[in-house]
Parts: sequence; C-alpha cells; structure tokens
Amino acid sequence: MYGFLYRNWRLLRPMRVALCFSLFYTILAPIFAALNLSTNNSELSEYQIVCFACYAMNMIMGYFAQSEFNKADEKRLPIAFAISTPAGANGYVKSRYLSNLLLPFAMLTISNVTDTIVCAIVDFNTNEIVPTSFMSLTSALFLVIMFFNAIELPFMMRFGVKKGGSVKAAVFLSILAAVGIYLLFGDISMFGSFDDFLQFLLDVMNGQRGGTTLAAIMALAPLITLALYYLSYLLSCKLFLKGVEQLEQ
Amino acid sequence: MNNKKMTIIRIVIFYILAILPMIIGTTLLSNMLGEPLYSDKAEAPFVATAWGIIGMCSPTIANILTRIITREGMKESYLKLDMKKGKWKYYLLSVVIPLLYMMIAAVLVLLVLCGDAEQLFTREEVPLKIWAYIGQLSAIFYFFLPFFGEEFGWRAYLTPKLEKLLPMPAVHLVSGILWGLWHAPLTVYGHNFGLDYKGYPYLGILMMCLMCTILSPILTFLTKRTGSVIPAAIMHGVNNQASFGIFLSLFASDEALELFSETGNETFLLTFIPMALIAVVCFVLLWRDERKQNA
Repeated sequence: MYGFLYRNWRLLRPMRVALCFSLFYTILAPIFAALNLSTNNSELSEYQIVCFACYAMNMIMGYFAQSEFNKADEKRLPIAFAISTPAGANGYVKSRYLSNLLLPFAMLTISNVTDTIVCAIVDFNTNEIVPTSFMSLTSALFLVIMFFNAIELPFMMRFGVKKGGSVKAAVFLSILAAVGIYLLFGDISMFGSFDDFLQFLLDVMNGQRGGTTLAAIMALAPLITLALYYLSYLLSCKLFLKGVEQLEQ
Repeated sequence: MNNKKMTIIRIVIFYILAILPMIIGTTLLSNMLGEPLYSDKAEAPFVATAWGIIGMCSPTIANILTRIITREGMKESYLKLDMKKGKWKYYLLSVVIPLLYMMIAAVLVLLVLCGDAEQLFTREEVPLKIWAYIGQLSAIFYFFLPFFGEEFGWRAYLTPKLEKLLPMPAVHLVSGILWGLWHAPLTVYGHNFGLDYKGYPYLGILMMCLMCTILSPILTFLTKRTGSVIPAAIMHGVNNQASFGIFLSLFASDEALELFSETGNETFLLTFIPMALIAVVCFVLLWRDERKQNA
C-alpha cells in the first residue's frame, strides 16, 4: 500500500516544479500583502483579492496536478504489476483514491495554515481591522474537487481517462448551465463589483446569510461528500478489473 | 545497548522534541503580545489559533524526528486506513463516544446547577444552532491535521513504547500525565481554563493531566482495535471542536450558562464522570485483548 502511494508520488514528478511554485506564492504573497497592510480601505480589498486568488489558485493547481497524475497512471504494464502484488486490485484502487484525496487535502491544509498565519499578522499589525478568513472558501473549493473526483474516478477506472474526463466535463457544463440560467433570471445584485461578490461569498460561507437551510447544507456538505467519495471507491473496486480487460484489448 | 534502554532513550528524545516547541513558542508569542496568549486582547485569538494548529503538530514532528534520529524506521506507524472486518464500527464510535459523554455531562451539570435538565434546548433558533453544532463537527474534515498531529505522536508512538516497559494501568497513567504536562505551557498562558481560577496554574495543569489520563484508554482502544491512529484523531477532533463548552453555550439557557461560568472549574470536573465511565469500559476491553494475546 505504501509502495503504491510512493509510486503515485513519483508519478507526480513532472508537476512538482509547478506545485512548488504554487506553494511558494500561496505562502509568501498573502503574508507579504498582510505585512504591508495599513488601515487604508483600498489596500484592504487588494489584500483580500491577493489572498483569495492565491488560495484558489493553489487549490486549482492541486487539482490539475492530480489530473496529470491520473493520466500518467493509465498504462497497461504497471497496472498488471499492481494487480499481481499482495495488495491486489482493490489495494491499487484504494491507493488511487487516497492519492486523489491527499493531494487536494495537502493543498487545503497549506492554504488554511497560511490563512491563519496571515490573519494573525493582520490582527497583530493593525488593531483596527478585523481580518478576513478565507478558510470557508478554500474548504468549499476542496469539497467541489472531492465531488468531481467522486464522479470522475469510477468512470476513469472503467472506461479510461478520456471517457472519465468527458463525464466530468458533462457534469461541469451542466453546473455551468445552471449558473448561466441563474445569471439570466435570478437576483444578481451581489455581482455589482468583484469586491461585492467576494463579500457576498464570504458572508454566505461564514453563515451570515442564508439562515437554517444554508447552515444545514454547509454542515452536511462534508459528510455527504465523504460518503459519496467512499461509495465511489466501492463502485470503482467493482469496475476496475473490467476496465483493465478493456485496456488490454 | 539493550532494547529496554533504547526504548527509554526513544521516549525521552520524543518527549523533549514534542514539548520544547510548545514551551518556546508559547512563551515567545506571549512575550511578543505583551500579555498571555489566550487573553481577551484583540489580536490574541488568531495568533492563538495559528499557534494551536502549528503547536499541535509537534508530537507528529517529534515522532518522525525520533524515528530518524534513533534509526528506527516506520514500523508500527499506525497509519492504516481499513474499514473492513467490522472496523468501520470504531470509526463510528470515534464520533459517538465524545458526543455521548458530552451530552451526559451537560445533563449532569445542569442537574447539579439548576436542579433540572430542562435548561437545555430552551434558547431561540434551536434548529439553526443544531446545524451550527453539526457544522462545527463536520469541520474536523478540513482541520484534521492538528488532531492527527497530536494523536500520531501520543497514540502511535508514546503509548506503544510505554507498553514495552510498563504494565497497562501504568501505561495509561504515565502517557496521560506526559500528555497533560505537554499542555502545561498553554494552560499556564490561559488556553484551557483561563487565568482567573483558584490554584492557578497548578490546578489547571493537574486537571489537564487528569483529563488526558481518562482519555488515554479510550483513544488507545480505538487505535488498537483498528490498527490506525485515524479514529483516535477523529475522536480528538470531536472532543475539541464540539466540546462541552460549545455544546452548553449553544443549547443551555442564559441562566444556566451564568451559573456555569460562576462555578467554573468545580462544575467542569463533573464532566469527567461520564468520560471516566467510558474509559473504564475501554480499559477493561483493552485488558481482555492483552490477556487474549498473551494466552
């Protein structure tokens, strides 16, 4: 099992420079922005945008790295070898799921730890500003990534990376279409400016808007996502061997 | 060097590596702030949270460093993730056990303070607060690292090492005391019980040692039965994230809350009773497991 995980880590090799670069700016840029922050209002929104952009990019980077690793892993010989090991096919599937969970989780943890340090710096430097924490937003992004992984991975195991990617794209496009319909017919007053939108998002995530229903969704979202991810793993265990047969043909 | 001596050396190195960052970090941060880290001063909460996340990882770092320094390797790392053969029950128990003792403790405290338990769930917006409480619980998913950080040190390294040297009751007593003393820098600076209580800070440190000693068999039981430190980390997370104080502040009446804050730590001791009962059950089960293994 550890061997599989180590192999997965090795497969990330081409992405390591990009990941290091991503980590570098995720940690340093918000800290510099926070260190240079005074009580000026315009600087405050710049600092928020820098933090938001860095954390979001870090999560997205993790997601891309993980997709690259999934592509790199689709080769007949190593899979055949993996199945022949004592851990077997299920062990191999488990390692794929763990790797796909651990990489975004590492990115989330780095973003959250940086965010806490940045908030501490803002709090320490300027007593007049209440620091904005982006943890809820990065956590929501993490859940979205986990949700897409849970949908994509069983298809990927059964039909290969291309078809798995197509299913993911279809789900993503459906969600985009739903957002598009909302933008056409729903209340879009909060999209006045990027600052307003960011504030709206933070209010929603921090429970200051939305009431009981939203609080229930926010509370249950991690549990549902985790359950979905586990179910997806069980399904993949069943489908994987059929996928390997197809790969051999 | 014989095995026993080596184990003692490993324990000493591990503990020094785990506690030193806590002492240095807490003292440095408190001096930078000019007053205790966990005071009411505006900048304290975020600094304290940041330090909480980083400081809680020191046992994990100590575990890894000790293994490297003493060339031990990663044997007995307790990092499995296996839900088969009924092991999922223990993952479920890791959430249920702390919730159970927290709720029994809340009823017990209200019975002692107000004479009835009807002071619970009397506040407005109960559904919203229930979701807030569940939200607090599910947040463990995102903030897993600090809880894992502690458990990977105490349960996956210290306890197995102590088991090689001591009989089981002594293992939990010693690991509980060492774990409680590790919290001492934070307790001195007001994290666990504040700064304004009778017998400060010694009573606070003693209470932490007592709580850690009670929790030790429960967490070890979950670790042993699953062969993994993850359920223990989940239980630690539930114990901290959805703690007794948070439960009471969300659901108890204002009157009960006021009484609780006036009586403070004396009533807090009551919360140990249900926890201790569960600990006894876990201890007996662990003892049975050990006897079966030795037979």
